[in-house]
Amino acid sequence: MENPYKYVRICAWGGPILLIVTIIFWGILGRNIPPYSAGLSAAEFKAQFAPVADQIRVGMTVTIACSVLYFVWGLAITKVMEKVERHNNVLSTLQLWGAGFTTLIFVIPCGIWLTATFRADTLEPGTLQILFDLGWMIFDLAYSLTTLQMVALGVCFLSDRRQVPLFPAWVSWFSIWVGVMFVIEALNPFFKTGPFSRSGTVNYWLEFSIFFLFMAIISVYLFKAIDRLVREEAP
Amino acid sequence: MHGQPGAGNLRERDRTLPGDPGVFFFITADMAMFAVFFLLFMVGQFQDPEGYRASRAALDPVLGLTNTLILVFSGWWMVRAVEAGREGDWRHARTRVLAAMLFGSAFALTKGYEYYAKVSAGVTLTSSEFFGYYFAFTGIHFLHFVLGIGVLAVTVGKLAKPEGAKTLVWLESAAAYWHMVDLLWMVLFPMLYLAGGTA
Repeated sequence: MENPYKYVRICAWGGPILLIVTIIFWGILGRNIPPYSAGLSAAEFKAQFAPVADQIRVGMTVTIACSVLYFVWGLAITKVMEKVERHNNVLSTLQLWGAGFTTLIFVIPCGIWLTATFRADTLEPGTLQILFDLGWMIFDLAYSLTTLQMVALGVCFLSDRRQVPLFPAWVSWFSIWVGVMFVIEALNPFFKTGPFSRSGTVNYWLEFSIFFLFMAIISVYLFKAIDRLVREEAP
Repeated sequence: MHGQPGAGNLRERDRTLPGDPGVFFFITADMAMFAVFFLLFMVGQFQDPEGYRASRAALDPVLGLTNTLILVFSGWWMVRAVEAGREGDWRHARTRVLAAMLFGSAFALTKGYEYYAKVSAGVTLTSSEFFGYYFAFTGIHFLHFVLGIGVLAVTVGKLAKPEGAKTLVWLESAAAYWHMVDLLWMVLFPMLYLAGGTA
């Protein structure tokens, strides 16, 4: 018997698993809750960073390896989006590419932070700090790749003509809103301290909270949608 | 926005939010984000009232007021567009949205001039905490304004080929979003240009 949703549920687990990995390995072990302030002097930064470099190295090594799950999760979302699309598959394709590129926004900065840990004891403080800054610049400023995913997802599910849509309208609007709010990350390069700096109230605490919330909420409704499609299409 | 008194079906509508409820979710979330911004600013001002006053003195409240009037006037055209739309007068609805767009666009000119004048005088978002907030908040607001102009442009297109109730929901939603843009400015203007005084 053919099952059009074979593997889709497994792919959908990529999101929740990556969310947990990110919190534990990138956040806690990687010392990113919150990250080192851009307001620290190079010497202060090295004094705080170098002693915990081994721990951060473990965190980044695991985060890089698991980053691919973001793309896998994105594929599960795309398979559900295809059931909503009427005219063509532009939105589900944009969503998938957005998710795929977001994977790279995990991989590349984590690789740079990993490099910073590699010779943390012998590198000049300024060099060490610039590596850390470089990772954060890419991580925060490449937000449009994820915004692409969020807006495509939201617009697609808003056009769902079912009596009860697969994703509730508020979830779609939430997705679009988070995507639009990511634009605030563009303020990052202009502030070393304060709410718009990389470790600030808005650009870190608020932005990362809504991003993690996005992953959690979309995952919940993704599982519900898959269950429903399986039921509806059961022979 | 209120329906015409005496029209039964419109009274029914008045009990619920105009436009699409999802748009109101977006608007509420957005305003919550701005509420956080306003709180941050208030805390900053409380901690350094003198510094904020000194920076504020460099702002021109006349320009701020001009922008307020531009947005309110544009919003008024949008209210009239919705009124026309509710009566099924799509032709007038369309010209009024065009008027809202046209008058609203003047906001870009005055704001652009203001940014230009500040930057050429050497005042940027790194000049002081006050100006960091000034550029960040008005910049994010400006982005909402640009999105709004885009939404109004799409609305003009939809009103050229109206599809009844569906088009009315779009028109009301667009109007609700456009009112959010002027509402946020009406908080930004007194907070940045007036409250707390100047040095």
